[in-house]
Parts: sequence; C-alpha cells; structure tokens
Amino acid sequence: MAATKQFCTFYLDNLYFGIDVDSVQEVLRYEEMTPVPLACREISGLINLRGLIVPAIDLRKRLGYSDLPEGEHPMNVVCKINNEPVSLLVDRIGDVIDVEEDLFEDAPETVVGRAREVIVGIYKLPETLLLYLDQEKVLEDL
Amino acid sequence: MIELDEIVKEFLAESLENLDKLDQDFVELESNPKDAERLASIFRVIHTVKGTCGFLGFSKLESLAHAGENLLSKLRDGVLGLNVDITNALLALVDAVRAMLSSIESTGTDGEIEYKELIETLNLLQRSERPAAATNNVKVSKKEEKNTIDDIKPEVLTENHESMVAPSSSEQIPIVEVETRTEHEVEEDSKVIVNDPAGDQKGHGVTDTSIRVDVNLLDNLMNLVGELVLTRNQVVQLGVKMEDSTFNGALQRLNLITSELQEGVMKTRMQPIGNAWSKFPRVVRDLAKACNKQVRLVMEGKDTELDKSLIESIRDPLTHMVRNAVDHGIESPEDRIKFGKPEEGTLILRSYHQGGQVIIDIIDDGKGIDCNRVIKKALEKGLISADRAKSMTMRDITDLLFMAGFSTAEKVTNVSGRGVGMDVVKTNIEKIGGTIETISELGKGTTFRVTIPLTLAIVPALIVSCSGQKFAIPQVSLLEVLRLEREEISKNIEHISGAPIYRLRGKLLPLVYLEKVLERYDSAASDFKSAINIVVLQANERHFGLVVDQIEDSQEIVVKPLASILSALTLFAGVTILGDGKAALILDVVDLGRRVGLENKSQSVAASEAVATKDSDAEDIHQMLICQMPSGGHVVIPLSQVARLEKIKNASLEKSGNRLVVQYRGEIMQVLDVENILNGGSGTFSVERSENDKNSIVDVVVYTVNQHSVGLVVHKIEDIIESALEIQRDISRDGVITTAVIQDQVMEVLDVNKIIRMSGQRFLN
Repeated sequence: MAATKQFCTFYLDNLYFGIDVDSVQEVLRYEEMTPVPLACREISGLINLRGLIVPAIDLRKRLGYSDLPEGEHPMNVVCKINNEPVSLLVDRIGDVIDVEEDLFEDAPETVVGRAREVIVGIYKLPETLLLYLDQEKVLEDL
Repeated sequence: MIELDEIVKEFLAESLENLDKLDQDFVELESNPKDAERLASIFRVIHTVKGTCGFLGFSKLESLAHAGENLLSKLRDGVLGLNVDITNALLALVDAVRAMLSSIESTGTDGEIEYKELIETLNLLQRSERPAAATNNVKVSKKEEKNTIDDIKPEVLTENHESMVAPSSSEQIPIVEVETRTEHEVEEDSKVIVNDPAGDQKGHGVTDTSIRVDVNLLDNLMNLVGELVLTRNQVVQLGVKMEDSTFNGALQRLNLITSELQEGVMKTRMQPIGNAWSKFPRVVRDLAKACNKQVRLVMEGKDTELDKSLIESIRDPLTHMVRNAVDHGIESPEDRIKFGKPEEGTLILRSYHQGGQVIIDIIDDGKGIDCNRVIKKALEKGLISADRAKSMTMRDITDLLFMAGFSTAEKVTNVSGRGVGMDVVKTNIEKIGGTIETISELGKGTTFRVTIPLTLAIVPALIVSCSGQKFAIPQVSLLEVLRLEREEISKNIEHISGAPIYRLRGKLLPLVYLEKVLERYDSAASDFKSAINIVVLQANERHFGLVVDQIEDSQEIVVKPLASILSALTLFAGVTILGDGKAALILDVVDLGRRVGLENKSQSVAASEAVATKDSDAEDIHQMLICQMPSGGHVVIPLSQVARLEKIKNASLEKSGNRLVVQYRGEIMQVLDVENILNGGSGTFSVERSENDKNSIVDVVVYTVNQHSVGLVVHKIEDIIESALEIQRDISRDGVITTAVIQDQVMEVLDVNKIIRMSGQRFLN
C-alpha cells in the first residue's frame, strides 16, 4: 500500500484545491467580518473566532479570480500559517480525503499566473485534479 | 536551551533574585559600614549560593562563593572593616556569580572560567588587613571550621544548632573572651542557620502565604479574564433589550464579580516598581566613580505597583536615563562648588499613581539643558535648519534630545555620548503607550517625566464610528469631545494652506479627518452630514482633533495584537472585540498624530507646505487660480501657494544685473516669468517685451517663502475656481504637479516651489 496523505479539500471557481489536513484548525460558515482600512485588497477583514481575532484572506482575490456573485457568501477554512491562525475564504468546502502520494506531479509549465505561485503541485485523482495549496505561499507578498 | 532540573531552576530563580538585592545592600553598606543586619543578610545569600551549588555539583561556583563567604564572615564579625577595595571585590564577586548562574541557565554547567584571580583577591583581602593579634587568629580558624560544618550538614545543624554551636564555640575561643563573644556568636550563628532555606523559621510565614507561579499561567488567566469581560459586555447589551428584572439582577452581580475578578487578576501581575530600580544604586555608584562625581540616589515610591510586563519594558529605558543623568546632568564636584551647589549631586527617582497612570520622575539637580548648545549641536549635525532654530520653543528644543543621532556630550565616553539612546528610550516608552516629558532649568537641573499606563491588557476606550465602521481610541490620549452642527462647520473650521484648523477656546487645533486617513473619503456623503464630531487627542504633548462621524460609547476593551500580516499598518495599535461580538480596530493615536505632520515640525516649512498641498490636491476640493500665459495657454496655481495677487505696471519693472525686480512694499522683489521657466529658461522676464508698452499692466502672483517674496508673472489672471482635481498620471514637464481637466480644458497645475527652484533661486532652503 502506497503512502497516503490527508487533505482537507475545497472548491474555488470550479477548481478543486487541497490543503494539509494537519494545518487546518476548523471550518466555518460565513462570518461577518470587520474590514481593515488601508490593508491590501486580498485581506477581506477580521473575524472574531471565539475571542481569537483572525484575518481572512479572500482566495479568489489572491488568485486573481473574479469575485463571488452578489448574495453568495464564502466559507472559512481556518488554518495555522506560520503559527498564526488565518482564515482562507473559499467558495465551498469539500471532504477530507486520503490521497496516494504516487499521484503527485509538479504543475505543468502551461499552468501560469497566480495560481501557480501558491500551489505545491497537482494530484491526479481518477475523476479530477487536486491542486495542493501551499498555505505559506498564500501569505507571501501580502 | 538546556532542559534544567526543577531544582536547578528554582536555585537559579532564587539566587538571581537574591543577587539583585545584594547590589543594593552593598551600596547601602558603603554609606553605613556598621550595619550588622545588612552584612548578615549579604552573608546569608552568598552562603546559601555556596551551600546549594555544592549540593548540585557546581564546584567552580562553589569555590568562588566560598572565598567570598570567608571574607564576608570576617566583615560580619567586625574583624575587618569595609573599605573601597573590599566593596569592589565583593561587587566583582556578585558579577562573577551572576555570570556563572547565567552560564548554568544556558549550558547547564557553571562555565569554563574559574575566576582564580578574583578568588585570590578575596583571600588576600581577608588576610591583608587582619590585625595581628593572636586571639583573632584563633578565632578565625574556628570560624572557618565552623563554616565547613555548616555547609556540609545544614540539615543536621538546623535541627539542633544550639547544641552543635555552643560546644564548638566554648572549645576553641580563649576563655577570656567567652563571656562576651560566645553569646554574641551563638546568637549570630543561630540567625544564620535559622534563615537557611532548609529550616527557615522566620520565613515560614512567607512561604506559607506566597507561592511562585509561572508568569505564563498568569498571562493565560489574564487572557481568560479579558474574554470574560468581553462576554460580560455582550450579555449586558442583551440585558438592556430583555427588560427581565430577575435576569438583570443576576446580570448586575455578574457585572460586579467580573470587575472584581478582573481587578484581582490584574493585581497578581502587579509588581512594585522597585524591582526595576533594584540595580540603580549600583549603576549610579559605579558610574559616579567612573566619572569622578559624587551622586546621592534617592528613590521615592518604590512600592508603586504596575504590571509585570511593563516593569520589564521600562527597565532598560530607565537605566539609560539614569546613566544619562549621572553622566550629562550632574556636574563634577569642582564645578558644583563653583556654582554654589553642594558637592554631592542628588538624583531622585520618584514614582506615583495619577489618574490611572504611573508617573516616574527622574530628577537631577545638575546643570540643566543648555538650549543654545542643543541648538548649536543640532545645527552642526544638520538636524534642523537655521530658520527653524530661530523659532523653536523650549518644547521643540527638548524634543531634539530624543532625535536619533543627537548628543551634546563634548566627548564620547564609554558611558554615553554616542547619540544613540534617547531616541530608543522614547520609542520604547511609546511602544507601551507611554510618554516622556522634559522639564529643565539651566543651572538648576532636569526632570524627565515618564508617564505609562498601569496595564496594557485592559484599557478604557472611546468607541467612534467612521464610514459605517467602529473604531476604538484609548482614553489615555483623549482630552475632550466636541460636536459641530452643520451650520457651525464652515464657520469654525478654517483652512491654512489646505490644512483644516479649528479654533478651540482661542487656540488653533489642527484637524485630521479619519475618513481621509482611512482612505474612505466620500465627498458626496460628507455633504449630507448634519454634524461632525471632533475627538480632541493628545500625542506627544501636542493636541489635534480627529474628525469622526459619530461618538458611540465608552467601553473597557481588551487589547489584542494585530495579525502579523497586518503589522505593517502602523495606524492600528491592535484589535478588540466589542459588545456586539464584532472585531474593532484600535487607532494608534501617536501614529495619527504623525500623520498630521505634528512630528515633522522640525522639517523645513517649505517641505511641509509641499506635502500639505500635495495631499489636498490629491483628495480634496481645492481653490485654484486659473492664469493665462502670454502664449495663450492656461495654467493653474493652487491658491494655497499664493500670498497675494498684484497688478504691476510694465514701467515699474527694473533690471538689476540679469534679474528683473520690482519695488514691492518697501522691498525689492524679484520677478520671474513662469512661461519662460516652464520652457527651460531661467525666468528672466524679457525686457524687450515689457518695453513695447510701458503703460500696460501685468498680473503678478506673489509667493512668499521664508519671508522672501517672489513675483511670478503670468499674462492674465482669469478666474478662481473650486474644483476637485482629476489627476492624470502623466506629468508633462518639470514644475508641474499634474495635468488636470478643469472647465473642460486641460490645464497644468503648477508646483510653485519647484518653479522657483528651477529658476536658480537659493532662498528657498
């Protein structure tokens, strides 16, 4: 049996992303946020997570996709990045899945743009591709 | 970091604490060498260190402590008198022990250094001054033997020390002395042993009522209480809606208990400020010796309590200021006599509570701050301009002391004078929400007043709203709140070169619009406001008004740090959670003040004017002067840069050298041709053109900087308009801030400063 890795998955603009399950603290529905004036546009605001103040990063904006249609709310994937809790705003949460390490491959050259900057690589699942998100890269250049 | 045994950790914590006390004891002892009580306590500390590290196997430390102990025991018995050599050696001993302890802390061993020399000195001192009487020799050997007994078996001794000590004394001391000495000895010895940690009888009271607690535990507790306070705030808001009397009764109790709990937990973290001061007697003594000065240190209000974390963060700044006071403030004894002051200088440290804050004064009776010298130095180092120097107030001058790179010390000593430090002191104190104030009188002395908050964790704050969002402002910096109705706004707020100013009881109060700072300015919305609120704030002793939409509430808030990805936003001091459960940003008042340009006062006037114009151009509705150029094109000059508009006859223009001048208000004013400069010329108004028609009149825009006036010749002044500038990014040429569309025409907005500089005029600097 090949080595497997566990991923917490989510959807973003029809793409299927995965993030190391160990780094995920919790998953939440949409929470109202306090916007932070003067901060870069990718930072949507601050969430009060039971007394813990967590900044929320709009992954759509971070990856350069268009905003969610009016009336639709993103969900929060709260994960520890560099030992600090940060919430990643995603369209929809998927399952927690086990993926065989053998299925990994670097992102092909043709994948360009901001998405390439923040992924480690791609897992070729039978029915779809899973983009392995490097959460530390998400915070870089912010 | 090495994982240390619990017992070693305890030994380190206890010993370091005791050593801090020793520094103070030694200095006190020097002024009162006969203080037997103090000597005994010093002896006990070293003795305990020696005993414990013998037990733990730190042999080098043990032998060093042993040498010190021998010397101390002689002092204690009055065989030796305390002198400077001995004090120095003992202080060196304390340092060495401390160094070894820190080595134990980091590496787990007592280090490589054996301190042979120091041990030798200690041994030598113990012998050298010993009176040659034979009886004393006998007594000494007895003492040494007894010490070893103490050390090897402290437990045994504590149990039956009376019986152990008494026979040994009577056996070895010459009979003649027995009556007097033995009693004394027995009493003294029993004291030593009784205070040994193993069988601490007097200490029983203390150990029973106090325990050592890990600071992290307290921090955790404090956080939880913070959460509780927030939850209480939330529940209280709900209670207002519920109107249920039983519920509200319970709520009131919850309210009360939470407040008491908060106070109680805060108290556990409170420590007397004396802890931060304990090193100062030593620092002052050493420094005064090194500078050949005589300084008496007076400490008042040692028991004033404040949060432990604050004590840690003021320790270094205070040390620096104390050193400064001794090195720079207090004069040499010769100078002091010359000025009719007592030879010995006095340095007073005083602390007390005032209005929820702790005030620490560092007062010296030295030479005071010589304003002229400060200014001279600042000019030399190019920190200020000559013009600026003339108009400086006492406050501005003392502020210079806190600028980076400033020092008035004639020569750099190993103590101070390098010009780093006071700026760091200031930043460190500001970091914990404190301020420094300087009061100085030449020849009489200087007082530095440090004001810091009691605690950082929970602070009272004013909640304001702006652009539909709530923000918290710490009340420490709040002075008052004003409300201006719509009709009062235009009447009471005036603009000076684009900067809004409010007259508050006859004084000018610069204003900052929060919505502009937050870049949320919406001119359409602001027109509909029925009233504005001004929060008068204080930053670094200067006042300014923050214009907000609404004042909401005042609340106790728990300060939480900003996430590190947001730490670049210096405008916010942190985050908190409001009663409605939402996060709210806490405004950093010092940073806001900086944005008003309050901090940049020392920069040249021209520079700040340029900033002001640029700012207002970028985001404000602005008054502008539209002028026609001789060639027919139009340019725009921001009215804020204009002093006067004049019409001057061609005939009155005179030539002086290669410059063209005009007599204006009893002065000779140079006249520049704007179009010529924009086209790359030096601005000399073409005389040929003016001579064509002696009686024709040219429009001149008078611009004043640093009391010099310059006339800018424009062909014709057409109009003064109010308009928001639509900035186009491409800047067409030098001397032009931007190109804008005004009245459907593209016009260049001039940068008058730049234009004058382009003409080669020097007086702008």
